Amino acid sequence: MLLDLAWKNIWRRKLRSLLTILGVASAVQLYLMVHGVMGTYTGEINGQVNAFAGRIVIQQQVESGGGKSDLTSSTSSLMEETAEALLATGGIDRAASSALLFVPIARALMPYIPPAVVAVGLEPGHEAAYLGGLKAASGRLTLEEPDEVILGQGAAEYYRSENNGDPVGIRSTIPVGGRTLKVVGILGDAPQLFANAVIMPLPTAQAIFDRPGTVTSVILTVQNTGAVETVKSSIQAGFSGLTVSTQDDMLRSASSILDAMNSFMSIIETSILTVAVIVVMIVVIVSVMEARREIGTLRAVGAARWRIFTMVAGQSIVLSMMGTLVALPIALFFVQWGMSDYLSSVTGVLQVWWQILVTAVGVGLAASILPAWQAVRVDPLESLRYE
Amino acid sequence: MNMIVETKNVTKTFGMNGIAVEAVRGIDLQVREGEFVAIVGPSGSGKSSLLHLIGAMDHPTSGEVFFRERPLSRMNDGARTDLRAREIGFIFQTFNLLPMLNVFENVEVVMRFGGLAKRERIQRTESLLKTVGLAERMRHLPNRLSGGERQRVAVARALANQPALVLADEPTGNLDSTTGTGILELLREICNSRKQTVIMVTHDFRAASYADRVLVLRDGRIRGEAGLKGVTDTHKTLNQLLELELE
Amino acid sequence: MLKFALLGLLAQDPKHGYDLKNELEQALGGHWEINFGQIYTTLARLERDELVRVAAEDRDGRGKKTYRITAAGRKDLAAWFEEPVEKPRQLRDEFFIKWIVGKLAGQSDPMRIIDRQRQAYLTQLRDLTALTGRAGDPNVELMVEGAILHLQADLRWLDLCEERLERGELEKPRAAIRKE
Ligand SMILES: Nc1ncnc2c1ncn2[C@@H]1O[C@H](COP(=O)(O)OP(=O)(O)OP(=O)(O)O)[C@@H](O)[C@H]1O
Ligand SMILES: [Mg+2]
Repeated sequence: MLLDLAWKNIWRRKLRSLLTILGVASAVQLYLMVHGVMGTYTGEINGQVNAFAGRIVIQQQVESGGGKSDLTSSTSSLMEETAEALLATGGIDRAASSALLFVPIARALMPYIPPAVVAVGLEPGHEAAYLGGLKAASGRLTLEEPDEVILGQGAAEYYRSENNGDPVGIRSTIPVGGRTLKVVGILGDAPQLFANAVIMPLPTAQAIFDRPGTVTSVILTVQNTGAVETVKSSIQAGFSGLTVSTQDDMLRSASSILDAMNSFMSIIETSILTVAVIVVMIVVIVSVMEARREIGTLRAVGAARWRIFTMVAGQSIVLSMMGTLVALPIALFFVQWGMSDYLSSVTGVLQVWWQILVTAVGVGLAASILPAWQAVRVDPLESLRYE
Repeated sequence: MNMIVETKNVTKTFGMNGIAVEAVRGIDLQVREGEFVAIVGPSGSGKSSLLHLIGAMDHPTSGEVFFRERPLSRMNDGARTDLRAREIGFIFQTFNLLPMLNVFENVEVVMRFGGLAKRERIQRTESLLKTVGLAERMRHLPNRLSGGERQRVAVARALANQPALVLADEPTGNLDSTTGTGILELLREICNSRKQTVIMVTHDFRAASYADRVLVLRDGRIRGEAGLKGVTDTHKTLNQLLELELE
Repeated sequence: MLKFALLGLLAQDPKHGYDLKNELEQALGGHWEINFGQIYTTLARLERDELVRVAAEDRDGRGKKTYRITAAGRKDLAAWFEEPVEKPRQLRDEFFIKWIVGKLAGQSDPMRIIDRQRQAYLTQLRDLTALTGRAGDPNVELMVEGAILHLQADLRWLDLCEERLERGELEKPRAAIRKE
């Protein structure tokens, strides 16, 4: 093997190698971030969809083109009478069904992601329609008085600034639309849709946001999970112009969005990796060009072609590996401090270390094919060409 | 006697910008196992070109080179590479050391191609470098060495795999007479005691006189040949010489 | 040449002919046996020219004379040391004659002459290089080195002969330096 020679070739041109490594590092770093964002996003959407097992969400879109899977869509609007009629549908668990009013308080940073903070009005006593089996971190998950409110953890964090920077907990009060509401419960760990929710009684929400007599959606929980499709078709038969989504529908629309996102992101990822491959390839091609005489000498003193191949491939793999090693801490830094909302945790990134390793070796190998091909074709006679 | 190298009407023509240079013009050569052959001739007479053909580095324009009766033209690249790795040691006129490797590594690396185990490689490299007088310079890079020192590294590298055939292109070109004599005696020695074969190109007649046979090359052809067999009585030689000087 | 060697040895102190032979042989590393006859004829000639004289003669009269250098002898020796050697180092005259005669006679192939000569020179060179470092005496060693260098020059000269011959230049007459 001539791997030590590969290493010496890298070492011989320190500045050039360093720049290559930095180039690879920034590409790989970018790749890791895009990858991480996609991973987080997919997890988030799947979490939301799963939270709606056995439930049916009914909306009426006033504007066309609104995202169908956007459960918190505030562009949907239903009359309260329609909502009451829907809640009277047979085969549903009325206690776990409710009319809801979603109103965004703070916008999300990215499309398709639920609003950063959203107000949720629901019928007191029917909290389970929205919260399902979620547990409280503290306090209770039921609303008994008109001025009571339940916060998700993200929402609690949001109101911290309104609370002189102190953590918002039960018995804290928060100002919403000119009214002061009393926090009675904080949600435990939950998907973002819930974590960012400010949950209050429906009449309170209608009053605060000036939406009397209307709701944005109705969530029905069927008594028998197997009967979801039957209930859905009976609603569709009885009412027209409504969007009726079961978990399956949500899954379908979520995955079509995810697919679109994924193919878009993979184009970006591929481009980023291609840049890395080209950077390494240019550098290795130049170093093969410079070393033709030495390669010729190696061939002349008996180095087989495969050894020359290992030398060149080794050189580009080492370059891309070192680039990856530099990229890893940078990516971790961003994950940790810069984008904790959107990227999964440090351990999450580390869990894919082997993926990263494979990527680095893959970039190196891909980058080495052309130069290695040039190198193995160097004739022993080239050792004799002198300046 | 077994022939280690044989050439049959070998020619080599280089085409350069439409001008054909006939470097080798039909050479028939037979070298026996264990022989020390010197090739002398003026600059440009085709000595190096011939050596490259014998060393399986270049392909003849016509004719055939045989290594132990195997025609080189019938060998594929792998076989020729293997031949160069194990059976042939080449001392380049231009040294051709690898600039990124130090003296020790330059010699050691070819032993990998010869398939030697690591411990043996280390041991043998050290002893070879001691033989050529470079034991102190093992960790130096070639660009820190004088021309003569580089040449001696090239000699050590060529002998690394104890090849049956050593092809030396001006191996003493950059050496003073003392170190040059050392190298020539080393080449003579490997012929005598190890039965290795040496073909040496030189324009120094004194170096050529170490050989068993001297071929004179001119314009790509063998112009003459002198066998130097038979060692004479040293005392008698001196006596004759003194007689001449003092008559 | 022997003349000055003997004068040089006698310059220190008077010596027997026998001592002279021994000392001279020793100075040359003991590789050469000089015969007595040569010594005595040279001494006789020196005595005749009054460069040496007999200082003493053994009583038994068996020719054991002790020689002493004269003032004239010393002068001669000093003058010899002062003068550089003018005569060019000898050419291989015989080869050159062969070369010329061969051409005149139109019999021999000049290339063959060159080839054979080269072989002979190379063999001599080989013998001489085998001697380097083994002659014993450092001064003799120097002489061997000198001889090697001369042989190399001879070989180069052969190359030149060959080259000119091949180019046909030896046939054309050239402008020559004529005797006035
Ligand atoms: N690759 C080449 N392309 C063109 N011409 C070449 C090439 N290699 C050698 N020649 C020519 O072939 C002739 C013989 O060259 P070669 O190197 O064999 O000479 P040489 O006897 O080794 O000379 P020297 O003693 O100077 O090393 C020269 O005229 C040289 O210019
Ligand atoms: Mg040459």
